[in-house]
Amino acid sequence: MNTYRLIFTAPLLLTLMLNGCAIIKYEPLPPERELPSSAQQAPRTSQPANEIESEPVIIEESIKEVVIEQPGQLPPTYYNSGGGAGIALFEEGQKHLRAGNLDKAEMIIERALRIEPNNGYYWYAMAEAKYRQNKHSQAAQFAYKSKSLAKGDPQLLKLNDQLLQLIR
Amino acid sequence: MKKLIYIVLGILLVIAVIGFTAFYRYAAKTNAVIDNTLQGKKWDIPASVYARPLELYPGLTLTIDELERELQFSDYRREKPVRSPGGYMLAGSVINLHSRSFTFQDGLERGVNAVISFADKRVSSIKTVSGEQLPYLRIDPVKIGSFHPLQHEDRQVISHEEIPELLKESLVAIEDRDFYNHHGISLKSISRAFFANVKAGHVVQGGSTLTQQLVKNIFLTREQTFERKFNEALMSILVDWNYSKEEILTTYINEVFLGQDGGRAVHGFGLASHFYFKRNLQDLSPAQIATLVGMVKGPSSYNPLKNPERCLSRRQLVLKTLHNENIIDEATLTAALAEPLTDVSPQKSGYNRFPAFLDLVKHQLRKEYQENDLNSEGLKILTTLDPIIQTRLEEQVKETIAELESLHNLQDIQTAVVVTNRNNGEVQALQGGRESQAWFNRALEANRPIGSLVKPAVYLTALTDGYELSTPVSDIPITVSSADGEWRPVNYDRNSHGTVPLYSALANSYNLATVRIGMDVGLNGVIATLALLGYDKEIPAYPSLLLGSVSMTPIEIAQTYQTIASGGFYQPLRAIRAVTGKDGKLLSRYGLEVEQRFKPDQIYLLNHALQRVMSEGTGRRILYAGQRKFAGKTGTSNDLRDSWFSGYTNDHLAVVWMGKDDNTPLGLTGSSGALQLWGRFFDELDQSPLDMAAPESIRWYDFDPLTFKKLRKPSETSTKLPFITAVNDENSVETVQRQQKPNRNKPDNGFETIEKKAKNLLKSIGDLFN
Repeated sequence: MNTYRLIFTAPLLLTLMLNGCAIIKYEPLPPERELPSSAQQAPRTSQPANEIESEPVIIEESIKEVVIEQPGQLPPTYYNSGGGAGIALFEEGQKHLRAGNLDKAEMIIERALRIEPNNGYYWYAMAEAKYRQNKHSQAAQFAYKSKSLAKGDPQLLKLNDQLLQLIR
Repeated sequence: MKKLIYIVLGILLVIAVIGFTAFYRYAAKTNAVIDNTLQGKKWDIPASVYARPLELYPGLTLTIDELERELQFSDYRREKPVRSPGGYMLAGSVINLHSRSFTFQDGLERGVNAVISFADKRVSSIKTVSGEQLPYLRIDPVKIGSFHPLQHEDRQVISHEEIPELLKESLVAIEDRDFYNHHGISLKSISRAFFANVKAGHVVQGGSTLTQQLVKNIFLTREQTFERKFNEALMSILVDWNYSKEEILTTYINEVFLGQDGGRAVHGFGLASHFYFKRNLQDLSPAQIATLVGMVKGPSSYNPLKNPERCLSRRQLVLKTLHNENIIDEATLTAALAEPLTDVSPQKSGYNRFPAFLDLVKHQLRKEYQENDLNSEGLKILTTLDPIIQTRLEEQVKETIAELESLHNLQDIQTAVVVTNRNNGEVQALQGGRESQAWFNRALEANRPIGSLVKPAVYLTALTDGYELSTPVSDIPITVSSADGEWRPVNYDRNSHGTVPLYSALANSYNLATVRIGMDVGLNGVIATLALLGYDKEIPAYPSLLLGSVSMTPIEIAQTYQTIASGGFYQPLRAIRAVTGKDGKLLSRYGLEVEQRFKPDQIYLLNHALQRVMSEGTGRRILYAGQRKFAGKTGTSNDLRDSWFSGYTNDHLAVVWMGKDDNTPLGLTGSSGALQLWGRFFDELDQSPLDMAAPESIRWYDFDPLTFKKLRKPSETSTKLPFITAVNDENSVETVQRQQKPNRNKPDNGFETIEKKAKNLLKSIGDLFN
């Protein structure tokens, strides 16, 4: 991890943990062809839903750390059915995404999508997986699909727009 | 005299040398054949085809009966208590299930001994037997078929270490007591068999060793000639010379024929163990091992399913022999003799039960794999078939067709159905005819005129060309002139309906209005829309295209409607998820694909109109009138020859065709035929209301279809209708009367024109199902 990121990310994570941080983090989408190694991944912690970090979207120069809140305070598109199976698989897929096992990440997120097909965040994760594989046109298509399910969710729209921006 | 003796001896010597040389060369050649075949013996293992794995999770709509059926398709055993992987036990609304390990495309999933509870036709919880909550549980999939070479052999190869000692000892004791002492052939066995047969007056005992039996099975025919006998003896000696006893025994255990399962031959104890007892070989009881060993003598005569009494008596004899040979003790003998022949029900597995779907899988695979790879490399084909949906479909097809025939006094109705997952394009079920074992797969091959199923493409072209759902369209007689003469289409009810809003023309499937719209937007535009929807064949630009004179197969229709149902995103229909090697290594994966081909708001409007088909149009004949839960379209070809319906809910899409094989009139419309089957099928399958996310540009208005005005407040005749509106322009238009020509110069917001895009697309799309 480069020093700049470490300096920025460490206090951010500390703040999040102290405040009861979120269930899922999106690792910053790096500039094209500068994919992060697994060592760069931010640790994830899980805290009760009533201690949620109030600022859900943080974007700072090359670091675009997006924190999605806990179940219960999540947007309805994020957590709507499947009794937690979809999200459990999604988290598993995220782990592989962060570790660079992109093909495996895709396969597991596809399983999550079979359970919650209208969850725009899962479609976004597919877009991210494609992006990290340098399959940019496919990444864009998944981002469009994710946007089509956003139902006005600003957080999800923002994530997709950021990704599309990088692709362009 | 002496000279003569020398001459004779000389000749004999020459003959002996020549004979020996010839024999040596023959033996060497034979040895090479043996070496080539047996050296690291690799059997041709046909590719195995699996259904989708059932992913259980709390909240999943599933009954305990459906789960049990899936388990039975998958060769699970019902037992009490559950003893090992592959067993399950029912207790009220709870099932204890020990799943089996399986290597999926994303890795090995170990079996879990789990307790699954059900409530209100749903899974309510999943726990391990030790009480740990599980968010999901993926069960090993049903094996639905194999790709056999000509001889249709199937086997599950097991290694020397996996073979239970008792099986080895039993085989030797029953089939070849001198196995460890002879050199391929046993003179002792031959003479013993000879005297036994002479004494009995007929053949009661064979003198073949296990090695001879193996040689016979692998290298020779069953003919009774001296030459074959000679070869058998020679080869047996050579095999014994070159290979250890353990290698010979292991090969025998994997090779031996142990019965027939329909079109496939069951070879080896590994597969036989699963076929007859639904267990791994290592989990068989002594009595079960004795049953299989007893079957070697005559797999058909001693088949536990076909001849249970004869099989039982043979098993008891084997058990007593094992006891006499001190292989099992008295207590084991007593327990084994008392054991029933089998403890599993003769429930038919899912193997080869779904041939129409297998056709689709083969179709897709043959584009990428050689026939020989499919027959011999032990590939695993992981497909998208949902056996629960497929079984429901088969039952519903049978029931509905019988009722329709009786109700309308009809005969020989044929049908085809394709069911997909609306959200990802996976084909979940496929019916090729009224019988599931139909010889002609109509879902893939019946190319029939699609009638009004084409209309959504006409209306979508119009919506991309400036029309709105509220646009007034004329449903009055029209004459279309072309080089072939004049064409005067009529409505199904032979009436014209005056000026109606566009959505109503589609919902009621008005022909005259559709032809007017189609001629206005142009035939090439409609053809381009069909291409964007996923139809990849050439369509001649005749005006009759607008009423569905074009022929398509049910699977092709499903592909085009999939694009509409998934919000304008093209998704290639998929029957296969992945192919792995026999070692579990991922070879090919067919993952999720999407490609946006239509603007979301235009597709949203079309979907709304298709929902109105179900609530107030030609689809209202099924039970859900007024609820606008589903979307779909009926289709009927000329003279009522073809009855179509294509529709979708939130989760599934299905295309139904009904007609006759000889193309004579069926006598049913899309609404009175195909829709009836669709409605009953979805009544059981899926009631999830269609939930299309509205794009930002969509605004809803109260619209009066009599005055064609948007209203400030709802009136008695008004209806809620979606409009595409500039996001910041919602209040700028209060009432609009759209009498004028639709705006053809509307900016396309960055989307290519349909014609241009379709041209490029047609160049690039491969032939999906050819």
